Amino acid sequence: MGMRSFILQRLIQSVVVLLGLSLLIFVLVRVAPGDPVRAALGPRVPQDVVDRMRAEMMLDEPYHIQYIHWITRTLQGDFGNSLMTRRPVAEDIKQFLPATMELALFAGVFMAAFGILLGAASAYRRNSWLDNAIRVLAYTGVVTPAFVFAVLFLLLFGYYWHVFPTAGRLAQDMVAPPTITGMVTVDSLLTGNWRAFVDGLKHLVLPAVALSMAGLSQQARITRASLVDNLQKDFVLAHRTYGLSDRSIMLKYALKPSLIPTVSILGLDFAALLSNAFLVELIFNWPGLSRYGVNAILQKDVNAVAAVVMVLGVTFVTVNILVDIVVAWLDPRIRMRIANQGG
Amino acid sequence: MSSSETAAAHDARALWWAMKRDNWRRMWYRFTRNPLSVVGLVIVLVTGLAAIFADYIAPYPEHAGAFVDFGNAMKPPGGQYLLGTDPVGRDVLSRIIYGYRFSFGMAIVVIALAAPPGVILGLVAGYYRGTRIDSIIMRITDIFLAVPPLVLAMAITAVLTANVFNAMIAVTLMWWPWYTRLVYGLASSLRNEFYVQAAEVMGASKFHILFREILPNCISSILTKMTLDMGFVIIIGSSLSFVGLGAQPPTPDLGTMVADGAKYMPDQWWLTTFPALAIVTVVLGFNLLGDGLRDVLTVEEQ
Repeated sequence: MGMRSFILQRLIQSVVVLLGLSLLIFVLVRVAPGDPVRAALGPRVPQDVVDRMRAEMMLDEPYHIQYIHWITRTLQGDFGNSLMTRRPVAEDIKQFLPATMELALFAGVFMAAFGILLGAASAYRRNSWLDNAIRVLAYTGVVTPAFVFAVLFLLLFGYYWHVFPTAGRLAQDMVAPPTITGMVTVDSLLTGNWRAFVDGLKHLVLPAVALSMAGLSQQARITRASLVDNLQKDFVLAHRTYGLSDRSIMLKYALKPSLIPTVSILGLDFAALLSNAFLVELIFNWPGLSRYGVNAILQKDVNAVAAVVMVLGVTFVTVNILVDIVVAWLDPRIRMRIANQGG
Repeated sequence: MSSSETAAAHDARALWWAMKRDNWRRMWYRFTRNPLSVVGLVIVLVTGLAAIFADYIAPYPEHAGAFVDFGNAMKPPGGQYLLGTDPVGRDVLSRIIYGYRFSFGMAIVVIALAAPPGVILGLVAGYYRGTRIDSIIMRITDIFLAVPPLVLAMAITAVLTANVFNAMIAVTLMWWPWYTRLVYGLASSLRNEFYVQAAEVMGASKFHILFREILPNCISSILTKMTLDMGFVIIIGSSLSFVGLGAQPPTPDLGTMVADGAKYMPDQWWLTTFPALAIVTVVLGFNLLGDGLRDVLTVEEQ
């Protein structure tokens, strides 16, 4: 079995998982007690309007018919209408998803880069003041909820130290670049709008850092532990006896195998990141999918909730497939196992 | 039965207990060698006891509910109110202590409900690795793991009504798969150990093999995870209430206090800072304690 069929197998597995997830969401939003239409329209709307809406959403059909209908439409990208905005949910998602993706990508890259960098520096200068400082920082990051970081940043940067803006994606007097990908920084770069790019980047800093702290700390701790472990292995000693410098041993031989555990949990850290986006987007007034999701949840907008959870599920599953491929590339043992499994 | 036999049995039992006691003493000694673990234990004990005896410890127990005293509203820390008062004149320290009671209660209930089914499913799936039972259990686990945890918890809480009870249900529903995953990994490697194979050859029941042979060897990992999870459930719980999906006012909750206090920054900084510090402190305590336990228990196993 080669790499290609390994990926194919992971894809099939993911489809099964996503179908299961869709069933779970369906049970959650449709079978739960209470009438979602009545809840959304409020008590003063006449009964015949509620009945018409129920019929429109097929809420009167048996559950299995409802599910089949719902999943077919979902697969076609039709999530129904939002009970709150009365617009198609798909439109809302199209509008809000890019902002969340921009934030999540930025935070994810920041998390992986700095987590690995700090962990490697910590292991390289083991037991120095730098190592101790990084370990304290990493511990703080793990035990502090994302919303505490966000509120702390809001206090520091909103009132005392006006280096980075604390709300929205662009300054109010800034003209937004034309929508191409929906990500402000990418769009402004594509249109050569340098000022908007810098401003968009500045707006990204605080929410992205608040979002990535937990994962970054986790990554730093795991990278340090695994690098310290590997630096004591025989193959490192062998390279040292050949007279290779510490630096080249680190960069060429020790770091790569040490990254396997780090990358393996990257997928989980990304999930934590998407989770925390729900809190961070709310605090920094970031017009993304998570803020939309929180409002949908608070207002019991079932179609929107289902769509948001489904979109995040697909995102997370995709990231995990990518992570598996990277791990297979990093770890020769896994590559061998894939190659040897046959048929 | 002769008297010498019972005496021998008695001696054996005494010896067994003496060894057990020795083990505990040695583990405790090693645990106390690491000052950070001891700090963690002290934090957990102090906050835990404060939560249990809140009625006696809190300076103003009546401030835990819907109490109003506008004459003493927004008092800065110090003097009569050690950590200041909130916009309606309630003592922040008292509310933090009662907030701990809620946080601890939620964490204990969630872990007590999530761990047993998670562990049992993990044991079964790990022992029957490669069979259909394994793939069914682990695929279901994957489904629950396919959504970012807080998102699923929020969605569940929202569909039900937002209150403490439903928040606990929601967090429990997304927490058990982590135990399944942990125990699955352990059980699938432990089943190849000689003592498990010996039990199989002797015709021991599956129940005996799963719960008397494999489970005891997973306990230290499970205990460590439960300790660390206490902290993480407290984070998730306070995150839910921060958004307004957990404890409803006037129940004192640390997450709600941070959210409400944020409106009064930076002038009434104590309204957010102290509840936030309270969360960080208790989570830190459980993390230090969990790491300490892991060090002691894994060395013991080797």
